[in-house]
Amino acid sequence: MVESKQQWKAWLYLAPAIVLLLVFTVWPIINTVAMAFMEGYSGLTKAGGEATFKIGFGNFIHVVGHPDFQQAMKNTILLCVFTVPLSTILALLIAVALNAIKPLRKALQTIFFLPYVTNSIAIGMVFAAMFNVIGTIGTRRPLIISYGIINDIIRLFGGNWVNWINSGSEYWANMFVMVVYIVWNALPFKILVLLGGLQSINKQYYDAAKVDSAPRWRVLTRITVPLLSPMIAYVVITGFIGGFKEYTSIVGIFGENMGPAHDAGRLNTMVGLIYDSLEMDNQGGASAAALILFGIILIVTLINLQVSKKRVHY
Amino acid sequence: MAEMKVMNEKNMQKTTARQKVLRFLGQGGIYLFLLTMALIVLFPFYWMIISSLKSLAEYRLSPPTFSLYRFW
Repeated sequence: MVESKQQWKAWLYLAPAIVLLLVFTVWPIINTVAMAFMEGYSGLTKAGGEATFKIGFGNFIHVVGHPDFQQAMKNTILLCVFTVPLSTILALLIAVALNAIKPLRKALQTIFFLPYVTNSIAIGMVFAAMFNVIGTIGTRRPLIISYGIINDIIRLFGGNWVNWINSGSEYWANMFVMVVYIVWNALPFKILVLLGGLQSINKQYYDAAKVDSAPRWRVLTRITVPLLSPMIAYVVITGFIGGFKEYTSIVGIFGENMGPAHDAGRLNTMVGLIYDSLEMDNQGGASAAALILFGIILIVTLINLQVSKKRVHY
Repeated sequence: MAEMKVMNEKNMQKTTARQKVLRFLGQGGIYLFLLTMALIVLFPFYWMIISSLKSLAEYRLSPPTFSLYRFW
């Protein structure tokens, strides 16, 4: 421990970080909580000199009753429910498989880590180009110039082409593209964490299992998963928190109007709603939506922690 | 006592051969799964690089080209 004579040095070293934290993180949070209760607050009029607002819950009621809000909630929750289990199970299988091979392991680890180092909007545009159908769709006799590579692969196997993200596409097709892209993006970090956790498992457990000649499936479910459960809990909790904040993936694929051309805003999420309210100069509504999002994530995280108390073995 | 099976040399070799085949299949299955997932993860990068080097007419071909040939 630092002697009390030298403690001022420690505070000096911490001072820049504390100042930045206070100014750019703590003060905006306090301000947001304050703004959420001000109805009729507009940043523009305040900058102009006069601001009239009254304190009340009107922002919250306005936000929750808005139909856009319900659509955004549905989108966000569906995205979370589909992407988090899928990406966790896939990452677990890949991590266990990577742990079991010796030769190509480092090369495959590099390959699986590639999606993490890319820009999510740039690769979103690549995914949009892969799922894009060029031509006139939705007319009586559609004239298709190019189906896009994914539709071509489907037609190669004898199926029917699907209108994924263009004008006239259906909700489930949009959701499928989003789930694929978000899982593709979320996989590398989860594989990294789970692989790190796997390599810290004591080999004696596996040796004991080999002595008892346990089949591979039972080794996986009775030894690996319980010993890995702290890492799996961490991955699931951060996966849910990240899933509720999805915004850039949707902008990467659909662009600014957050949906196919005929139904803009169909795939909007909670964070998208917050940004839209800010653009329309409704800081009170945006703050209220941000607080509601915070409350939802808090409840989901508490539920996750409660479940992990029973299932996680440390 | 007479029904007790004795582990003689022939028995031991048979089990190790079978174990070898199972192990080979197991490792082969793991490699197949990993290589499939690696191809799926790599595919957008490959498509991005290929498409950026194509001309616009070649990009729009409906059975698409996977290797480059000059279209102009």
